[in-house]
Amino acid sequence: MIRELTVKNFRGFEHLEIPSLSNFNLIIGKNNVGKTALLEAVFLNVGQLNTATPIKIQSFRGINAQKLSNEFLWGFMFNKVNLSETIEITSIDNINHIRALKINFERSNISKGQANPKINEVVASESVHSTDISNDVLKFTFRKDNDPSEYSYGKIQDGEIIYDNLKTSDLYGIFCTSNRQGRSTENAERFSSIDIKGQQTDLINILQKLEPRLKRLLTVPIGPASYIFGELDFGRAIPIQLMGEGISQLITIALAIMTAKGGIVMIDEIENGIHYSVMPIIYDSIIELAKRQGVQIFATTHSYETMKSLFRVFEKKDLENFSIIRLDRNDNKIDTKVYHDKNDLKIIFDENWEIR
Amino acid sequence: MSLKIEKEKILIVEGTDEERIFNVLIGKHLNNSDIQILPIGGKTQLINKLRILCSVSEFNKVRSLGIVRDADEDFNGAFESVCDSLRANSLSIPSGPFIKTNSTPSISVFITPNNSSNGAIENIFWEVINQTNISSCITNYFQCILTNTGSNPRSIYKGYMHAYLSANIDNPSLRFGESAENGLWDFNDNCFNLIKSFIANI
Repeated sequence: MIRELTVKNFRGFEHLEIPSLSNFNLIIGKNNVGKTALLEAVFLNVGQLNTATPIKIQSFRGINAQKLSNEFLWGFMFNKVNLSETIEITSIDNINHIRALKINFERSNISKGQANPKINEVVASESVHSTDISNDVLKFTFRKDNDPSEYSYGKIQDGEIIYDNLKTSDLYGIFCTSNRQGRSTENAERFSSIDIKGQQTDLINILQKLEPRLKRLLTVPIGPASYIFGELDFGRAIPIQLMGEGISQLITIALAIMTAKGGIVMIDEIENGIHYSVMPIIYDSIIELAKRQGVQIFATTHSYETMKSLFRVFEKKDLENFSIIRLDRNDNKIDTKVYHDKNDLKIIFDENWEIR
Repeated sequence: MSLKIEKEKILIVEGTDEERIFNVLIGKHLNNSDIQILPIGGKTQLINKLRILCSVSEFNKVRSLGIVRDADEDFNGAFESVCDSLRANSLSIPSGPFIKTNSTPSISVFITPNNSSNGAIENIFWEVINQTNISSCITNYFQCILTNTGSNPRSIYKGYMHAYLSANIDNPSLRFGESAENGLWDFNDNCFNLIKSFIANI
């Protein structure tokens, strides 16, 4: 579990420190203060040497690799789009392990021919063309505790994006975007992996809190994509998306938590599709599942009902495991306010203080 | 409905009775819409409520913070207690009651009834009642209680207030806060000059 997080020169954060994180961290704040960016920072840190993550988080925002230039592909994650700075994302976990990630541009020292073909990944399509003649490479430097630093690279070359030394992280991280598009296949893959472990019943039990008629889940391939279908009490199966946005959101979150055992799940706009009246029961399920799986949660919300429902659920369990983190823009700088004291949280929600 | 900072000037009062009194005094009598009145649910809550207030993102828009609390039986202790709460929340501390700090937000404290003696907000209103014939009825009533039971309410002026309100011809069940909303008090009376001066200076 990440206990402390420091972010430098990433997106809108020049220097952001969060000194006390919990098992469940709810991130709040006005528009454009960096709530999603904070999730992205955690995702990058968890991904360690995964140089493909920057393009992935950009696609979460709906920006796809249509133009191959350093600035377009990677520049927007640098504070003030200043590519000469170094992004630093450092986390310290609850047993004091330090994970320090640095991202910067430097003069090329790899070429397509030198890259290890086994780990070299090409993501650009043939239809996009390089407009960048720079030799700069995106460099990831990752260090765990006092271990030697490790490196990975991303580079635009011959109209393609090439990666060198991509490595799998030792920590599982899953990002649930606020955008519902493109979730189907990922969800279907995750469902298959938990189904073969015999965990379908656990998932059904959670979903039945929102849709009691649900009997069984199955994956259905349609063209290149796969979908999860749910069988209802009238004997027919229908795509899970047709059971409503709430079920869609819940299955995405539940599958992420069940897949990321011992890891971290980031949920952008956790309240999406969930009616306020069922929030307590849904959030209780998510919290219980995360606890069983040993998963730490970072979630964003704009919803007061969500904040209050989560507080009430934790109030009955253990408020030590709940923090609300507000991001504020002050004089063009982003500051944080962490609400963790249980007496303060009780006053806030008993009296309906507006802290967003 | 959520509780949020809506104005640049905040007046913190002890409870809902005070909130209603000051709403009438400030909003209707002084016709001042620049001050937000915030009841904190009792004087012991000041330190906690200040902590929450200071944590709210809009707090950086607050220019002035006024605090009104009763002296009760210990005027000096009441002021010191307010200062302790301010200090614990890294807010400026005025050198005395009725003295405004030169900080942002500015801080000013009024210890009722008059920034120099023990008592409560009801004492101010008692001064108004004391100018009428009914005051002796009330003091005689409590003297009678004392003679026959050997004791009086610890806060005698709060008792006086209840007795006075219970004698209201139209509505004998009015609470203190409601009495202002029902127009029982003439805020033009000189007895209110000091508190009005404090409010004008927040």
